[in-house]
Amino acid sequence: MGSYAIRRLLFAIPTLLVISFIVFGILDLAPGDPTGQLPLTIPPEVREQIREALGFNQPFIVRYGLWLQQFLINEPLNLLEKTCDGTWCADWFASSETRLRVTSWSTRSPVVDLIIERTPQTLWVVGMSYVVGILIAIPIGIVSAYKQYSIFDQVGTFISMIGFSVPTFFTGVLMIVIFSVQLGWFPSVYDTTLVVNDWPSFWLQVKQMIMPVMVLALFNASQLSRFMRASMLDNLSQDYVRTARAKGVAEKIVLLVHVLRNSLIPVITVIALSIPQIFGGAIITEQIFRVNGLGALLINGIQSADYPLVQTLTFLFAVLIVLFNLIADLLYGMLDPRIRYD
Amino acid sequence: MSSVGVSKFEDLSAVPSNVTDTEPVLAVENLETIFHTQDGKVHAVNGVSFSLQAGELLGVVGESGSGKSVTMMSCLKLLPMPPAEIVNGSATFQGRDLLELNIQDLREVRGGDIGFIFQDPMTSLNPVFTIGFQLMEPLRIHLGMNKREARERAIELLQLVGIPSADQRLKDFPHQFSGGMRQRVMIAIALACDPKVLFADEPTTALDVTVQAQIIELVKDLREKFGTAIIWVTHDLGVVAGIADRVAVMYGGQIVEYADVESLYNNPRHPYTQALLETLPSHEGGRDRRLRSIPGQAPSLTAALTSCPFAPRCTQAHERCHAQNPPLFEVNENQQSRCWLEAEDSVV
Repeated sequence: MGSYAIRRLLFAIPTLLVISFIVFGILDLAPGDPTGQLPLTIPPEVREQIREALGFNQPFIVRYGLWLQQFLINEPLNLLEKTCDGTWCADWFASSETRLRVTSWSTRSPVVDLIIERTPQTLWVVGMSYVVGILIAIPIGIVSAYKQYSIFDQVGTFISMIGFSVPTFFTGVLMIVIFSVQLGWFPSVYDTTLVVNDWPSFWLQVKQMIMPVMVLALFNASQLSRFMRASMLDNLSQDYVRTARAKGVAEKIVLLVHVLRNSLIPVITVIALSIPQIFGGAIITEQIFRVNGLGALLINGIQSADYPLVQTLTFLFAVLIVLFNLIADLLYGMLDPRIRYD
Repeated sequence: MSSVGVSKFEDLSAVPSNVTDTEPVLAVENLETIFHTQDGKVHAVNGVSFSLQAGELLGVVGESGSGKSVTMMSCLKLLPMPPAEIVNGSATFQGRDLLELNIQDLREVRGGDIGFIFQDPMTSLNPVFTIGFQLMEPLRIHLGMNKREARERAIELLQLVGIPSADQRLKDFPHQFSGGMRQRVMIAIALACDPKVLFADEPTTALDVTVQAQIIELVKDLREKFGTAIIWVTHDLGVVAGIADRVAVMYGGQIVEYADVESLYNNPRHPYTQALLETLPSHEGGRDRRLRSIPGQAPSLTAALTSCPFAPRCTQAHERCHAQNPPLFEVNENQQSRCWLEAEDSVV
């Protein structure tokens, strides 16, 4: 399995290079101008100078090469410098002043710093919604399948149909109207500056997280519970279930050991494959609740034609997707003894 | 299977292996099972009665859809309910009716006193658990063994069914075994807790002929050793002739002929049994140009039986056969046949 993983990782390098090139090309072909958002009073010559200062007038291939160098060589070196700072290897990488970083055009701040700044909010809100969604979906899927066509199953089917087909921008606004405007229970805006250092501030954090997490969790859970139910149903009718019952195994063990273990294999794969989406942020939900996470960062970058920012974020999503594809495959191999990677 | 011989099991052969007319270990009376489907009820089992003496091997034969497997699974309520429903009958085992037991008590019987071997060894084992786990499970449930004891016993069981280097194979998964080896594992699981009765539901159907012969030899051997009573469900008349003491021929969800093996093969009474035996290719004389078959199709059983289900395909059917379902007639002390030709007032 180890050599398989290494082989797959090596294969990922050309894949990611091609992806980065394609993304860069698409961004270049897309209409848009980094000076487009500037006040109209700025004369054309000045605009031209700004473009020149940003390096926007250079040939495509030069800009691509520079981005590659800045992101794939300079940024890792900066990271190494930071980790080595004050240790015996401190001199090895110490020349960050001369190294160009990938810089956001609209904020003039290094893109990597922006991303590091935005990641915690996204992980907390979107990541938590995935955890909650999974914790809701798996038991519902199990019970729905075991009691197929029961009232529980019918209600579950109905709710998950609603949860899946009603968009999050509707449920999000609906929740704000009910719980923030009418009842006043939760704040409608997520406050990123909140520092959690005691119980009251922790409680505030929980309160502001509840709505975005629930909106996303409902959406995720409806999808996943259907998947879990289908997978359980597939396995419940298998011969080995009858064998387990014929051995005198208690129904609970039949369900939660024999059937569940088999049913979780495809579900865990689906969960692993959807983890990159957590980092991608729930763009719409983040907008509604004003969570300034990665999704909001990407939207801002697109609106202001901030190509280095969009390019870097998109590339990072591509890396995560390739990585979690590999992880899903490896998990599959670990969970299903019939699959071996040699 | 000369390698079979584990000292721990020797004392168990004290169980009487000769067939006697004492109290049967299992007595099924008038069992009726129906399936509720979208197109209405399907009467899969229509009043099946049989009994099993200690150490006896009862062969149950019949074509697909004759209710053989459903009868066996009804006894342990292994059918999915719904759609299946056992509407009538009893299955008396050790003085208790299995069909009336609560699920807790029934579970103690399943895999403990009654073992079950299924048709398809490729799908009957759980693919994600090791053979060891699956074999130790009934030992820990029914005999309350701890992990170490169960492991020791599991190794013995695998040796008993002729699986080489048993202690290493415990760690293997089902897909690492061949079909025949998997069926041996299934047999080991079924025999794990020294069952009094073993249900073998077409245990050799999915295997190729040489492996089939090995499995039959193995079961014969184990039966001699432990005196387990066995119900062997099959559609292979040749297999039954070789191993069974008595045979029940099933058709349309009922037993149409019930006899000891010599009587059945030498003097088949029911037209269906006769037709079945005629379909067997003969070893003697010239080869027939074509294989023989019984013309017509098995009945669909969508309604309760009001006439003999075999009548439409029977060459000897007469008016009464189409009007009334015959009871089981006693032909002699060893043979019963469900045919109006046996009736004393029958006009042929």
